[in-house]
Amino acid sequence: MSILEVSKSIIEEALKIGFDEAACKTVSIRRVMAKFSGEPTITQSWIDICTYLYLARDGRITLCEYRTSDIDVVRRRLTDLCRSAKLIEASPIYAPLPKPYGIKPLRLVDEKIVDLVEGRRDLIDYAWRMVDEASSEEAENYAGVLSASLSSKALATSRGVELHEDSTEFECYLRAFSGDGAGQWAYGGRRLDEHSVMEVGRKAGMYAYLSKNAELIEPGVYDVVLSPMIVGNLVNIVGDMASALQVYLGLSFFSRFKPGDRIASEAVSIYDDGVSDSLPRSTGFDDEGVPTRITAIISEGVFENLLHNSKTAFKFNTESTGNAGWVKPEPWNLRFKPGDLKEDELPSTLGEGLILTNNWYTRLQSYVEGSFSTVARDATFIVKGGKVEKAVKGLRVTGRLHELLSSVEYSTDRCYQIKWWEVETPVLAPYILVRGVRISRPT
Amino acid sequence: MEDKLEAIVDEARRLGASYSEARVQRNIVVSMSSRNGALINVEEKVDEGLAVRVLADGALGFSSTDRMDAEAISRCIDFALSRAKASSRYMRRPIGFSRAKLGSIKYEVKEKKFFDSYDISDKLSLHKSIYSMLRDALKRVELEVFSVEYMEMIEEKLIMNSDGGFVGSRIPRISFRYNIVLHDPVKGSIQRVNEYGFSGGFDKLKEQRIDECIIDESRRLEKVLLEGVKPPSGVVDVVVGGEVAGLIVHESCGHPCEADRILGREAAQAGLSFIKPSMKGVKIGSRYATVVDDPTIPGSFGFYLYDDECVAARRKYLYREGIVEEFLHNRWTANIFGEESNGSARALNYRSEPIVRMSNTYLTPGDYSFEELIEDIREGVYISSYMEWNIDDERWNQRYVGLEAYRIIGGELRDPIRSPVLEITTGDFYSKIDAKGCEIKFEAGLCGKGEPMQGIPVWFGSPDVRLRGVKLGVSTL
Repeated sequence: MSILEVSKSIIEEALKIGFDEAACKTVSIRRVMAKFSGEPTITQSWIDICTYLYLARDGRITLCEYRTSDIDVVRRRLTDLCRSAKLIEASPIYAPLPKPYGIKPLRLVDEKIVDLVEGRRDLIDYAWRMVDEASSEEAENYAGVLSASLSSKALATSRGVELHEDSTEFECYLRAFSGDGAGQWAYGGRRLDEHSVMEVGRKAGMYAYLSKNAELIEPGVYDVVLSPMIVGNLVNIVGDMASALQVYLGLSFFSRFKPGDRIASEAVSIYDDGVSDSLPRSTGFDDEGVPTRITAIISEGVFENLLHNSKTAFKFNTESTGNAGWVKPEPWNLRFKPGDLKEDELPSTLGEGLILTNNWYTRLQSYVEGSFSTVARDATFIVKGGKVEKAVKGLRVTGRLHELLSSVEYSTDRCYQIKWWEVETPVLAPYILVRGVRISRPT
Repeated sequence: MEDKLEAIVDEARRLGASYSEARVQRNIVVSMSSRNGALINVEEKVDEGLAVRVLADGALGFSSTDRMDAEAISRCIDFALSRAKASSRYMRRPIGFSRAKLGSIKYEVKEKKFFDSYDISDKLSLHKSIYSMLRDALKRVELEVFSVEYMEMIEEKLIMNSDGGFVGSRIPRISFRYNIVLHDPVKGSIQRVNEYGFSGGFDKLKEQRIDECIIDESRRLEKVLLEGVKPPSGVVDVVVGGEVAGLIVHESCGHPCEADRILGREAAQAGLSFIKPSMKGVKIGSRYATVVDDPTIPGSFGFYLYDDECVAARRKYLYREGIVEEFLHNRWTANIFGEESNGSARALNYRSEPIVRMSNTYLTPGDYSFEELIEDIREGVYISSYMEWNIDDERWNQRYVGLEAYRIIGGELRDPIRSPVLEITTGDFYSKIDAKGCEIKFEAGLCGKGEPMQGIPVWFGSPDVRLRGVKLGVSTL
């Protein structure tokens, strides 16, 4: 039985038992991953079929996720779930599943990635080619990950949606070390773009070498350049908070604004992009069978849209943006619109300030106010007189998200496809130049 | 199932593994999300499958599948072996596993009543009653939102390895995570996200009276929002509350004592450690700096008796009286250090490799009452809770922004203050402790590490601790 037939049969059963509505997404995935730190630390591989269910009865919502070898377990659970659905109450965000759209699934398979998944080529060899690139930039040690996956997704709903899509995904990141210096870069895509993979090694190696002998500097207010790695991390926070459910739950700074409000400088446009087929989470349809699209979250500094499924859209009196999640709308891929600045113009345009190339641990004091701090990690430089003077260390960026976005002055003309541990939702991002950012450290 | 595991372990060995391990794991999670007492949805997750881990030609391979038929198992073994062998040509030194006290045992945590013996409405009534009590309790500010994610989890494992280890376990856990936003038109807002978590059943939440805890705290936060003043700046004495100090201990002792991090295995993800392999016996703080990791605490969120390499769990002194004493090990790191594993390997689910993890990590209590801790402080601050926090990837430079906090003047707790910033190095924190409270407070959390990410249940705890002469920052937010 195909995974689409599995989904359809579960829908039929759910309706027969007494649910009013059902949707079933079945995902079959094969994935391999090579992890290394100076040498291979482990190679991992996974083969799974996961069944995701949305079930509704009189407005009461039950979600399920089953990773089990026995599909009959899923069928048997339906009876219990239907019984317990009678005991709960109607959801305040309930709205019916949407009708089917005419959707053409995207072509998202790269045979080079299939070869890696099926073992015709070894992922670990790519890892060492990436490492060689880092070494060519004088890196002395390195750690990182490459992963490749092949997925099939089938969606059926009680409104008549029947869709299927295959996809591949590749992700890699490398952290390089040179003396006390460190640099990190990342790439993620639907295709195995060898140029980008090798560039990960080169950029990580280059930043590691340039950041040796870093010194402490005084905390204060600085103009800063944030790399695509950091833009990726911060835009992940913005993208998650753009989910209308996060606003509803009091976990978003967008709750303090309404569409049409200016919340960033004109240099800032942030989009959710479900359709660009090179981006790692691109897909033709969301979990309700609504076509994905490009949605402006912030356009030239103005708050345009939250991300919606049909339930949050009903609650917020608007239309779905094709971002279901049956309960929580999720961004697919996030894009920060590039500008005109060339990367080699960054130090001279900055004049005096800091260049930060990576970060981690972004945490919020208040989600609704957007107050946060994040720790600079790896290569950080101080720029004086328009030139990089030396490497610095031990810094932290603090501020409010909308204030930081309001202080963006420039972005560069080239974007990088970033996905790694701290950038879970893939981001296509340039370098950005931000004026007047608070920088702290223990003193 | 035990016969099947034995056959898998033997087959992997026959095909060339120098070590093999098979684990069948089932995680069942039922969760309920609500907003202002209204149920948004119920969710059920069943995650069940097989993990195979092998050492072959000196390299480590892992493979997992949700299929348990012969073909899937055979493919799983083959993937783990073939990919380990393929990577072995890049190894600098072969991976080996240390000696260890391996268990041959089954154990379980018994909840007073099974989760499914409670009516779903009993569980939802907790969301509703807390929301209702909050509305009654908060007279002076708007309760903007109260959202809850309630989770009950059952983790069942059966593990066998080629060195004779065999462990079966069943551990139920429960967690209650909530978000409260209080708002005042003049003073703005204050937000609290917090979690309670235990091993055991639904009764744990009632035993711990979490409803009363949430209401009492919200009343205090209302006061902080309305009456909070700017904290003092400059050098003051700081009493760091058990909640904050517990997190500090987790971040700046537990993580840097993970031996895999010390060896650089997690360098590209969770980072490195300021602790180097040769630093056992090095002074890190005052004589009050004693930190323990102990998976065997009954009822704890990080409870287990045998780790996922079948090694017996035990209490470990990571720092003892200010000296670095012991690292957290699995059998790979212990082998490199020439030691026995101390049972710190944990895997989130069948799709996860076992890696070095904390369990319940805490600063040991002292003998001061709270009044005694503050009585000789002329000018200081008490930070009871936090929201924003972070630490660098070597676990040295850390920051915690107080949520509920007060001035201390002349040995007395005075006005509430807004957002004091404790930005401090690990060395300074442990060196400046000069007294500890007698009561320990544990907090629950899901600690992230590994690739793919594994969010593992842990407790972190501490008594209130007094730090002398700390330069306190002020959030300008």
